[in-house]
Amino acid sequence: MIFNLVKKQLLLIIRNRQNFTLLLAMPLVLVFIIKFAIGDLMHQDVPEIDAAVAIVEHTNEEEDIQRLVDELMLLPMEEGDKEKIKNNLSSFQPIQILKDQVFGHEQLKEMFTLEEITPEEIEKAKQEELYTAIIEVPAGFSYELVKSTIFNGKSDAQLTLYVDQGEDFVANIVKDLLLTFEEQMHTSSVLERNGLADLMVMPEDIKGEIHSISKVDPVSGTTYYAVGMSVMFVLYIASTMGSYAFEEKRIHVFDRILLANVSRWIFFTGTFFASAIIALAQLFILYGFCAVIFGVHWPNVTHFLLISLGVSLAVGGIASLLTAINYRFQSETASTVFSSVIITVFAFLGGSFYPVGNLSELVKFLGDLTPNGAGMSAYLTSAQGYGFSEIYMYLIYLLLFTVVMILAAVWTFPKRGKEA
Amino acid sequence: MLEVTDLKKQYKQTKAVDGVNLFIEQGEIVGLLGPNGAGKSTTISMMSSLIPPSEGDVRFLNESVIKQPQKLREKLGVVPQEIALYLNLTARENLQFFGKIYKMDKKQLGAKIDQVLEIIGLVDKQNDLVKTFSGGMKRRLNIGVALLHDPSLVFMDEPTVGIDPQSRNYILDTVKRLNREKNMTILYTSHYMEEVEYLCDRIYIMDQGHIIASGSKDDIKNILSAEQTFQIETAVVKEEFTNLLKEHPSVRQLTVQEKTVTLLVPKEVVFFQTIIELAEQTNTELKSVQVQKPSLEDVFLHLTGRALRD
Repeated sequence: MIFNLVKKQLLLIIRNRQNFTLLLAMPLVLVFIIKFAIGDLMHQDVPEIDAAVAIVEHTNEEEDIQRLVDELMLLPMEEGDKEKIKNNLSSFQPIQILKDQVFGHEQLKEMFTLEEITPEEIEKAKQEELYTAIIEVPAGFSYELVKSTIFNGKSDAQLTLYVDQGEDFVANIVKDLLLTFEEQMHTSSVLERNGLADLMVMPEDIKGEIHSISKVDPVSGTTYYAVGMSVMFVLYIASTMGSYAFEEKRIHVFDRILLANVSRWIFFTGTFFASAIIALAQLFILYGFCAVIFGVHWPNVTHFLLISLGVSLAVGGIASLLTAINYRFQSETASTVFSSVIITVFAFLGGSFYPVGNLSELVKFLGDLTPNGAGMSAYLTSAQGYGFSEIYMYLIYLLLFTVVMILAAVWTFPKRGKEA
Repeated sequence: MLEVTDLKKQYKQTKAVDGVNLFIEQGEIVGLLGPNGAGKSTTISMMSSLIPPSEGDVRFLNESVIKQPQKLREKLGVVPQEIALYLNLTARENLQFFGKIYKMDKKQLGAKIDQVLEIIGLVDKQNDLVKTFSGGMKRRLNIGVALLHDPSLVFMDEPTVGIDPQSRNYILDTVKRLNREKNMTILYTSHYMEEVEYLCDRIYIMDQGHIIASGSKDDIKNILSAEQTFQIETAVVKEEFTNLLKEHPSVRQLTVQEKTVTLLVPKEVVFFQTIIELAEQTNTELKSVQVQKPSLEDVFLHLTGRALRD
C-alpha cells in the first residue's frame, strides 16, 4: 500500500515541469552562476603549490665546519672532549640539513623543487624571475651559526631570501620555513649545550607552518555551493509534498483513499516515505550532476550516503508535519510559509549562501540546529576527509530532528471523527 | 439497504443538515434534489462515513455506519462533485492506483480496468494524461473510479456539473445502464430537475438542511394536482403587469425569468381570459400563453417560493 502511495507521488512530481525546474534545474543553475560569479570571494580554493626554489651558497659548509673544528682543537680541553665535539660537529651541517631534510622531506618535495645555482647565476635568475624564491647562504654562514650557538654568543649569520612578489602565498611559505628552520637550529644547539639533547626538535618537525593545509583536504567554493544549494533545495520537497497532500484533500482524493478502507495513518506514513525517497533521489541527482559537471567528489561514499539519508529523513519529517498542519487548519498556508519564508531563513542560517557560521559561535550553533545546516556541516566535514567520529553527531541530530517532526505531525494530524 | 435517521450536522452557528430521514432499497435509483447549499453533499459525506454526524444514525444492512464504517465502504462507491483524480496521471494510471488501494488482485484489476474503461467510453484515451481531458471525460473517469471495486451501492454527487449536453446524456445513460444491467443501487444528487426526473424512481427534495418532500415522481407532482401552471411569454415584462397578477387572489406563485412569467393558479379557476385582460390593461404585448403540466421545478417553487437554481 505504502509502495503504491510512494510510486504515485514519484510519478506526479516527475510529471510536473514546474517542480522539476524548481527542484533540479534551479539548484544546478545557481551553483553554476555562483561558481563563476562569487566563488573567488570565498578564498576557499587553495592553490596547488608547484614552486621552484634556488639555493646559492657563497661558502663551502664542510670547510666552514672543519675551520671551526680546527679552532676548537687548539683550545685547552681534554682530548676526550675534543674528540666528542669533533664527532658531533662533523654531522651537524645546517645547510645540508635544510637541503636534505627540510626541502627533501616527502611532503615538501611535492611542492618545492630545490635547485642549487652558482653565485654568478643569481642576477639572471632574479631578472628573469626563474624562481619563486632564492635562498642565499652568505660566506661563513655555518661557521658563524654553529660557533655562536656553541659559545652562546651573538651571531650575525643570516640567510638572505629573495622572493617573487607575484607569488606572495608561496614565498611566504618559504619564508616561514626558513624562520622556523633558523629558530630550530638555535634551539637544538642550546638544548645540546645544556645537556638536554633528548628534547631536541628534529628537522622533520620543521613544517609546522604548512601543517594546516596538508592535514585535511580544503573545500573548494564549488563543493561548498553544491552542498549549500542541494541542502537548501531539498527542503522544497517538504513544502511541495505538503501542498500535494493538501491538494489530495481539497479535490477529495483523500476521501476516496479513506473510502477504500485505507487508514489515514497509512496515508500519513506514505507521505513521509514518499518525501524522504524523493528527497534522496533529488540529492543523488544533484550530486551526480555536480560530480560530472563540476567535479565534486566525495572522499568517503558511505559517509556521503549516510548523510544524504539523514537529510532525506529530516525532509520526510518536515513534509509530514506540514501535511498534518495543512490538514488540521484546512489550508495550504503552512506549506506556503515554509517555502517562501522559512526555507530562506534556514538556508541563511545553515550557510547555503555564505559561511555565516564564521561570524559567531551563536550563528553556527543556530545554523546547525536547522536540518539543512546540520546536513551541510556533515557534508563539508566529510568532504574535508574527516572520519565518522566527526560526522556522527550531525547524523544523530538529523535523526532526532526527524523523530521530533513525526511526533509533532502525529499530534497535529486530525484523528478519525475530527474531519480530516 | 440503507436507512438514515434524524441526521444532523452543525458547524458552529450553522445547521448544514437538520434532521434528514431517508431510505434506499436495493436496486433503486433515488434522487436527492435541491439547490446549491441545500445540504446534499454534507448529507452524502455523512452517509458515506466520511464525516461524523452531530446527531442521528446511518444504517447499512442493519449495521451502524457511524460505528462500523468498514462494511459499508467495501460495498460503496462514491462519485464526488469534485474531479477527485490525479490530473498528471493517465486514465489507466488513475484506475490502477485506486484499484490497488482497494487491494484488488493484479490480474483481476487489469480486467476490471478494461471493463470500466469500456463502460465510461474512454478505452481510446486510457493512456492520455487526465489534464488533457475535456470536462465530460474527466467526469466519466470520476465515475469510473467509483465503479472499480464492483460496489452494490453508489452515491453520485452532482456528477454532471459543468459539462456539455452530449457528455451529460452519456453519463445519464451510463447510470441507467448500471442500474438496469448490474442492479446497482444509486443515490443521485442534482440540482438539475430533468436529470432526476429522467433517472429516479423516488425523489427526496432538500432545502436548507431539511427534506421538504419525498416520494415517487408522481407522488411529488401530485402535490400540485390542485394547481395549474401558466407560462406567459411577453415582448417586455412590465412591472405593472406582474404587480396586477401578483395581487390577483387566484395567483399562488409568480416568478419572472427574462421575458417569461410563470404562474401557479388553482385548477378550477379559468384564468386565461384574466391574463388577456390584464395584458391589455397594462399595454403588455403577449407572445404566447401556455398551460403546462406541473414539473418538479414547479413543485420546488411551490414548496420553497424559490427556483431550484436561484
